[in-house]
Parts: sequence; structure tokens; C-alpha cells
Amino acid sequence: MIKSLFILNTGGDVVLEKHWQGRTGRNIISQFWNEFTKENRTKDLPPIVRIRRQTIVHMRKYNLLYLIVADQDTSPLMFIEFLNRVIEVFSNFFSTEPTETSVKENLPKAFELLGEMMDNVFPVTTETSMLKDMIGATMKSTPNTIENSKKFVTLSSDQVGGLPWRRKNINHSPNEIFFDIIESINATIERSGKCLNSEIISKINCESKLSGMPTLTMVFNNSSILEDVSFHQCINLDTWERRKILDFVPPDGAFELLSYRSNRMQTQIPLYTSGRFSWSKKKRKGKFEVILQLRNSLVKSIDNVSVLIPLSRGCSSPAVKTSNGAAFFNDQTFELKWEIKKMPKNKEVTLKGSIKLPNKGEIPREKPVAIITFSIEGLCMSGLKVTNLNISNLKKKIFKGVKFISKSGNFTLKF
Amino acid sequence: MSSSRVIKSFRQLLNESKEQSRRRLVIEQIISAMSLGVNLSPLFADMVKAAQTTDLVQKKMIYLYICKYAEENKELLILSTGTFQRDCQSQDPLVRGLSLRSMSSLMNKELVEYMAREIKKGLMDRSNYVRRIAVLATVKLFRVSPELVLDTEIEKKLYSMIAEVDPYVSINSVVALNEILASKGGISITQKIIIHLLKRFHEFTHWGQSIVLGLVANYAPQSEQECLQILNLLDNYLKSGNTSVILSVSKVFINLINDLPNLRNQIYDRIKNPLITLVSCSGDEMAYPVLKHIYLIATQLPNLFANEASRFFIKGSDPTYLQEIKIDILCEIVNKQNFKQIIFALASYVINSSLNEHISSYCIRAIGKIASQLSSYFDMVIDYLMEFIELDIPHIVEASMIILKDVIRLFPEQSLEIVLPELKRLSEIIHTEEAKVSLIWILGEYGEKIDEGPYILEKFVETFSEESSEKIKLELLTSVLKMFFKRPPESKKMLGVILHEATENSNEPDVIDRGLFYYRLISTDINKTKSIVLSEKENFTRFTENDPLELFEILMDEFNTFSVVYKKPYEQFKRIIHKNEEEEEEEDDDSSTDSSSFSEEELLDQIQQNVNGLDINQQNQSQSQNQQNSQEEQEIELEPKFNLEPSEFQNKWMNSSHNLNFDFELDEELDKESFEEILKENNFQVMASGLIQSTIKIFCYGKDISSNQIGLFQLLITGVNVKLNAKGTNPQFLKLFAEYIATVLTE
Repeated sequence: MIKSLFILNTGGDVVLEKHWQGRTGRNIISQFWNEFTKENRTKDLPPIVRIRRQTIVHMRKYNLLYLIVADQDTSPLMFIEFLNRVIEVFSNFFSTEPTETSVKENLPKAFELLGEMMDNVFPVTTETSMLKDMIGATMKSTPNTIENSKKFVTLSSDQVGGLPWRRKNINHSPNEIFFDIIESINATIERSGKCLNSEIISKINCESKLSGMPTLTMVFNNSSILEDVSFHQCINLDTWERRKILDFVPPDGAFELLSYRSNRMQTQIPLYTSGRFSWSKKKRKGKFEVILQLRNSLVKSIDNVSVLIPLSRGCSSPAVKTSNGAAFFNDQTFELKWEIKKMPKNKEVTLKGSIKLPNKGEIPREKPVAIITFSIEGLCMSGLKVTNLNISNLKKKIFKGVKFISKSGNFTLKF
Repeated sequence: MSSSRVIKSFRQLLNESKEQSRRRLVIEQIISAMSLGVNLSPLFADMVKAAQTTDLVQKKMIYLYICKYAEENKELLILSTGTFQRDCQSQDPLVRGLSLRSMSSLMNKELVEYMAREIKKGLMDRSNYVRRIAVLATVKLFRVSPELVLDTEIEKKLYSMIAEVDPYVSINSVVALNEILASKGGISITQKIIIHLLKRFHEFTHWGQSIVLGLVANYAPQSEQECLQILNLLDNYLKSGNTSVILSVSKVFINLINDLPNLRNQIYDRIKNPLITLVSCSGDEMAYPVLKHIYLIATQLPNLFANEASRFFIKGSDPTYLQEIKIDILCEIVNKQNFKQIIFALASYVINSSLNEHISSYCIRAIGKIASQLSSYFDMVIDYLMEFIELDIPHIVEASMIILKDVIRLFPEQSLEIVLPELKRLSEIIHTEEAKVSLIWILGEYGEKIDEGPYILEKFVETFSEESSEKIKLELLTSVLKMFFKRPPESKKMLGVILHEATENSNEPDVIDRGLFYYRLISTDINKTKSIVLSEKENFTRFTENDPLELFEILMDEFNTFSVVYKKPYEQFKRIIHKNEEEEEEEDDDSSTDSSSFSEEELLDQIQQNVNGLDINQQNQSQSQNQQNSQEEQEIELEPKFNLEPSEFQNKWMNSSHNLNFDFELDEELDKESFEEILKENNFQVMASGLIQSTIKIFCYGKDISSNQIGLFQLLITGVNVKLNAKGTNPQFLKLFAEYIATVLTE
């Protein structure tokens, strides 16, 4: 059960504290802070720790540290999920990332939201669109209008037949709905260009501005791709099980419709990658080469490809030659970054270079890796296609669109 | 801090501002200052007065304020009841709900009568929103006066409200009953309730679903058919977008296995993929508890994840806590098919310089653990270990040394031949205590097989007097004695030296004892000593320090709770509130209002700025200068080299004006030495210590640098229970001292 939430800034000062049951003193927070900052553990302290026989679950986001103080008898996932929701709801209501400044500026609103999101010690309403129903009214009102009008606020949640994720009486003009299918590929590539392992982690983001209670059905060409999938609550799981069709009444606004993981790739990895790296012990030098080539017939070109190589500390600025694009060396982080604004079709692009190690010290045992980033619009690596998107229950002109984006997740070349 | 100026200016602003938009701004500033930690309690009466506004935004903020300071203003609270009651009659459901929620949060005994009346009305309210709040308010009422809820019409009403159409009201009723009836084991879970809740499962929010699943997990289906129905119904929800729901479904499934043992493998197969997807699709924070659960399942069904080994390979970007748990999982799922793949991965982490030293040692330990599980692949393991040892990287060599000792204990015949020739070189490069102990143990046990064996030991004996580690000294004593019986001519001299050093020139009582014991043993009957020291050892295959299997069975019962994350049954870490602790908590609260990090000056400036042109009475600028210093006084810092003569200590102990007793509990048992070490590390000076039966008694003292206060302490430690008796001249400081000791020892 969640007792309290604290939000701290980067210096460990409390920006906001909310108590749902009793009051938790700040001593436990300063003790946590000592633990958190000890021996550079800020990244390595587990998200769930016990302090003073209580549990503290923490999460970092946008330079703020969120802490939940809890009793230990329930699901740890619930707390982390709740923190995710708090951050999401804050972002939606503040119309900006929740940072120290934006939280302080929106303090009364933040308290209002937290009051509705959890009552007693369990989360209640965490859907943005439902919260807008309860808090939206007070947000917009200026005090004078409230004083003058004798009209009562009616809560749509009071009307029977609403859905937990969608209130009634929503009105939009124009009516539109857009889907972004974003596939990220995680892959490890060998020096020869062979792919050692790969998987696609994807999600479908949706932005819905539809009136009333519309019902959508979405049909895919190859639904078997969606094997490891997690769905938004709005999706009717029975229809999916029986007919492999997505059937749903969408929440209002932006939300994640579903996410899926897939090991199979319909297309080749759009970017062929290979390279070499060798250390010369005698000369205390390292020589390297990276080769990239676009190899997907569906893709005409890719913009903004970048290759990042973290090099050994203390090495000299590398001498590099590129066939396309430009390479920069950061002498603070010892990272070499090669950026290609436009990747040509049917042509290899190369980076060649060498670095010199300082005269003393060991020759590194390990070769570095190259981390590659790219993003391609209009391509879908898993082969998923939407063959039909139907909207019923809404007799109005509707703009709808589906967009595909393929991009690199954790994409690494091992020399 | 004294915030009288801030209070004054706020009060003035409240009185002056007539226009609603201005009032709203002022109240907003009050809330901001409150969350900075300024104590605004004295404004209570003014705020209660301000609560009679029709502006909902102001009202919400004012209620927030009232809830925060109600405790300190008990006598004024009665003033607010009028406002609360009026608001409970409001036409606006938001106002009714707000008023009900705030009133029930006050936890005030004086108000229970009003509270109970309004809650009962709220349960009948025409608005769903208000009924939701009223249902949860019953729990808050229960916490203040259980007799007003238990076995009353409220309890009955709540049961009937589970059937309400509004899904929130329904779920909240379940939650409320579960908590109110906690002492009776929670809400009574009947088949009727379960069927009702499962039928409308899709209506509930994720949180509601998690709560229902919690009930289902404790429900015993009446037939196999019912089990299957539940299984089929919930199967879809393994695709939920909410991780908490997925884990809760998994728990229900695992519990159902007891009723459907023949479906065991299929059921685990169902939950496998969703769990793996969670790990790869969610952030590090989420992945951590999920991996902990996968680890637990892997201890029960190692083969379930065997084909997925690559999913648990670590990434350089993983935080250490994820790397550790992934390595733990790899150790569990290893089998004949994936063995090479896993060992290869672990070995590559060991030498990967981008991972930290801790992880590389952790991998070496994992490799050793795997060797003990799969003895047929032992050759490959020892090859890797020998490779590590040749690396000349101290932490890798040292960690490998420790594992080699275990490998030799398990497979002496196969490994000795390879390891023994390396010992001389190793003896020159290792430095850590544990690695040295391992090496010395090997030498004592098998060192006679190599020519230089006794001479390597001799090198250690030469530095015996300078050795600070008691463990090394003890191990060395034993090993030299063993060597003496195997290679007497070369070892006779060093045995003499070490026995002399141990008995005559050592400080550690255990070292002296063992030295004397050996000496007397040899003097009594040298042949008998030999047969005792070199007795045959029994072969063994499993280290007892590995986790007991029963532990995992208990943890499976506590699936989807913190027990799994901590790897401890709930019984071992649940929070029992002692009397002392409650006091401690109250002290926490007091200090919380003082621990803010700002100056009054800045705050006043800010308020002025924000309230946008409103005049603030500027006065006495100078007063506010020394505000910031006062908050530092709370911290205790001890003088490192402070020293008291025993007679002084005794004198002070007998004549101290104040005495404080303080009991607390430790997280784990420690021995006397560890206590002394911890105390010394924190600059406490130990005057005397001893062991009376199983109780450790320690006298110590310390001097706080900033205040020059001296505290004297007697600690009586039995198991995890500590009785602290503190003496000194200032009662406030004694309290701080006592808390400080408790913090130091419990960390």
C-alpha cells in the first residue's frame, strides 16, 4: 500500500510531498538520499530498497527523483506502474515535461491530481481523459465565472454507461485519429556484417480526437506478428482472441494502443553494417574501419544516420577519413561521432581512422563497439500492415492516418 | 524556522484581498510555501474562514491546508465542521466529494460523530463520484473508530455495494471491506462474489483488475471445471498493457497449478513470454522486479527459460542491479544444451573492461557455481579460471582464486594438477583477505605435492606478526600444522616460529587460543594429533551456503510481493511497530517542518513577486539573516580522536544527570567484532565489551563536534534486539545520540 510520494530535485531537496495515509517524516528521505548518493550509486541503486524497515520505490525522470514510501504487502509492480502514470499524467496536464520548475509552477494542480489518482492507499483513476473530467472544470474556470453562474457541474462519470477510459459527451471538430507504428530494432552485428541476434520492439501510438463513443476496428495483414503483445485496456480481448481483429473504443487524446515484440523480420535489416578494429601493441595504435550501406529496396534514402564509437580514455584525437558525412571527436568523453546527413542508395559509405594510445599504460583487452542510430519513415521491418481501419458509431467526416517509422533501438556493431 | 514574518504577511494578504482572483493567488502561494516545508500552522483560523468560498479551486487548496495542519490545531478544528457540513450539502458533486474526502482524512476523534453521519449519507448519494469517495472514507473512519464500522450497517451496506453498476464503487467496496476486515483475514471470498467480479472484469481499471486478481489468487475454486474457466477467462489478460495486471494473473495461474497439477507445464509456458516481453519492453525500474520473479520461477523450473538464455545476457548500459539478477538467472537456467553459450558469455563479461570490477567478480563466482551444478563440463570451467589467473588483473585473479578453492574442494583429482604449479606466482600477486585465505587453505591441504609448498607458506609466516587479518592468521596456523605432518623436515622451524608468534605476540584471543591448543595437542601426543589434523574428508557435492530450496517454495507462495524482490519471506521483514518506533516517527514529523532548505528572505521575495504587485510590509530586514543555520544543529558528528580514561568514564557514568533507555531491532544478527567495528568506523570509542551467555555487552562513548556534548552508552544485544542505555547531561542530545546509534547499527 502506498503511503506517501516525495518528489526531489537533483540536490535532494523536496519539491513536493503528498501523504495518503498518516504522515511520513522527511528523515527517511534524507537517509535514502545518503544511500542514493553514496559511492556514485545514483545509477546502480536498485529501484526498490528497504530503509528503516520501510520500502522505498524510486524512479528518475527529467532530473526529478520520484519516491514512493510503502508498506510491503502488495505488488511491487503496482508502485512502479503508478509512478509511470504520475509522470505521464503530469506531462499531459502541465503540457510540458514535469521538471522542478514546472512542478513548482503547477503545485496546486499537482496536488489535485494526486488526490484524485489515489484515494485511501490504492490507485483509483489514472487515465488522463477521466482526470480531465474531474479536474478540467476547475482548471479552466476563473473564480468570477464560478461565482456568477449558478449552473451545477455535472460529472460525466456519474452517467451510467461510460467506460473507465473514456467519458461521455466528448466533442471534436474536426474529427481525426492518427496512428504511429514505431518499430525499434535491437541488434548485435558482427564485424563481418553477420547479424548475431536481433529483435524488434514496437508500439502503436495513437492520437484520437473523435466525438461521442466511436467504435474502431483495425485489421492487419499478418496478425501472427502480434504474438508477444500487450494491449491498452480499451481493446476487446475476446474479439482479438477469436478473430484477430482489434476492436476498441479509444480513450480521448494521446495514448499507447499496444506494444509488441517480435523476433522475425520480414525485411532485411535496412542498414548493412560491417567493420574492423585492431590494436597494434608495438606502435600502440588502433586502426579501425566502419562500412555502412543501405540495402532495402523499399527505402530510397535515410536521413541522419550516426555512428558513435566510445574510444579508450586518454587516447589521442583520432585521424579519420570519411567517404560521406563528417566525424567529430569529443575529447571530454573520448567518443568519436560520425554523422551522415543523407545516406545514398546503392553505395557503400566508409569511415577509416586510427588512434594513438598514450605512451604508458596497458593496451586495452577489449575492442570498442560502434553504436549506430537511424530512423526511417515509411518502413515497417516486421511486415505489419493495417489493411482496414473502420470507424462506426460516428456519422461525421473523419480524418484518419497510419504512419510507419522504423528506427534503431540498441543497434551495435562488434568489431 | 521561525516563520512569524511569513505568517504575518500571509495573514495580511488574506485579509486585504477581496477580489477572488487575487485570493486564489494568495492561497496558491500559501500552498507553495507549505510544500517547501514552512510551518504555516498558525494561519489555521484564517484559512478555515477562507474556506467559505464558492471558488472550487480555492476550496481544494484550503482543504489541503486544513488536512495538513489539523493535528496541530485540534482545538480550532471544530470551527471547520460547519464548512464541511455545508459543503456536504452542496449541489455540486465535486464539492460534496471533496468535503467528504477531506473530512475523513482528518483522523480526528472529536469529529467522528460528524464524519460517520456524513459518510452514511455519502454512501446513499445520487452521484457515483461521491459514493466512490464515501466508500473509501469508511476505511478512514474505521482507522479512527473501528467500532463505528465493524459489524454495523456500514459493513453490510459495503457488501451490497459490490454489486453496484459503477465499477469504481464496486471495486472501492471490495478494497474497503478487505481492509476493514483485515483482522478476520479480509473480505469473505465467496463463489458468488468471485463470479460477479470476474464477469465484469473488463469494466474495471487496471488497478481494479489487480485488486480483483488478488482476491481470485486467494480463492479456492470448487471444481476442476471452475479452475479451467478462470484460467480461460484470465488468459487474455496476460496481454494487458499494465505490468501489475500481468504479474497478478501469473500469480493466480501459479496458485491454480495446485488444483491442476497435470497442466503445470502448460501454465508456466503461458506466462513465460509475457514476462520476457516485460523485461525487454519496459524501463530498468520495471525490469528489475520482473527479473526477480523470473529468477524465482527459474529456481522451480530451470528448463522453462533454458532456450531464452540470450534474453538474459547483460548489456553495458544495464545498471549493476540488473546485471546481477541477470547473472543469477543464467546460473539457474544453465543446462547441457546452453552451457557453452552461457559460460562463454559470462567469461566475456569477466574480461570486459567496460563492466565494473564488482560484476566481473560476480561472473567468476557464477562460473564457479555452474561448475558445481554441471560437473561433466568441469574442464571448460577450469580452463577459463586458469585463463583469468594469467591475466595479471588483481581483482580478477583474486576472485578466481576464491573460486578455485571451491573447485578443488569439489573435484580435487581433476583440478589439482593444473592449479598447484600456479600457486607460487599467485602468492605474490594476491592481496585481499579472502583470496589469501583460499590460497593458504589450498597450501595446507595439498601444498605438500609441490616442491616449493612449504616455502610459500614460510613466506607468509615471516610476515605473521605484521598481519592484521585474524582470518588469515587462523588459516595459516592450521595450514602450517598440516604441512608439518606431511613435510616435517622443511616445516618444523616455521611451526615453531608461528606457534611462538601466535601465543606470545598476538593480540587476538582466538589466535592465541588456537596457538595454545595446537601447542598442547602436539605436546600431549604427536601421533594422535597427526591423525586428527589429517583426517579423511567426506566428499560433498553441494555447498550448504547455497540458498535452501524451502525458501523458494515459500517465496512462490508470496509471488508478486516484495518478498520476491528481497528474497526473504514476508515474516522476516514485515514491519512491526514498537512503541519506541512510534515515538521516533513522531519526532520525524516534528523535524520535517524544520528541514526545509530556503531562507525566509527569499521566500518573502518570491511571495511578493508571485502575488504580483501586492504589497508586503517590508520590515526588519536584518532579522532574517541567521535563519539557515538553525536547521543544521540536528546532525550528530563525532570527534574522531576523542578519548576518555576508564576512570573518567566510570565517573561520568555514575554521575550523569540524565539517563535514557531506548530499544530497537536490527535487520540482521551481527557478532561482537562487527559491532565494535561499526561503532569505531563512526567514531564511537569502545570502552569495554564482553559476552555474557548469548548477550553482547558493549560500553562506548562519543563526543559531538559542534555541541561538545559527550554521550556514554551501554548496549545489550541479544540476537537482533538491542537495549540501549545512554547517559549524558543534555536530554535532547541523548535522544539524538540514541537515534544516531540506532541508525548506525541498523544500516
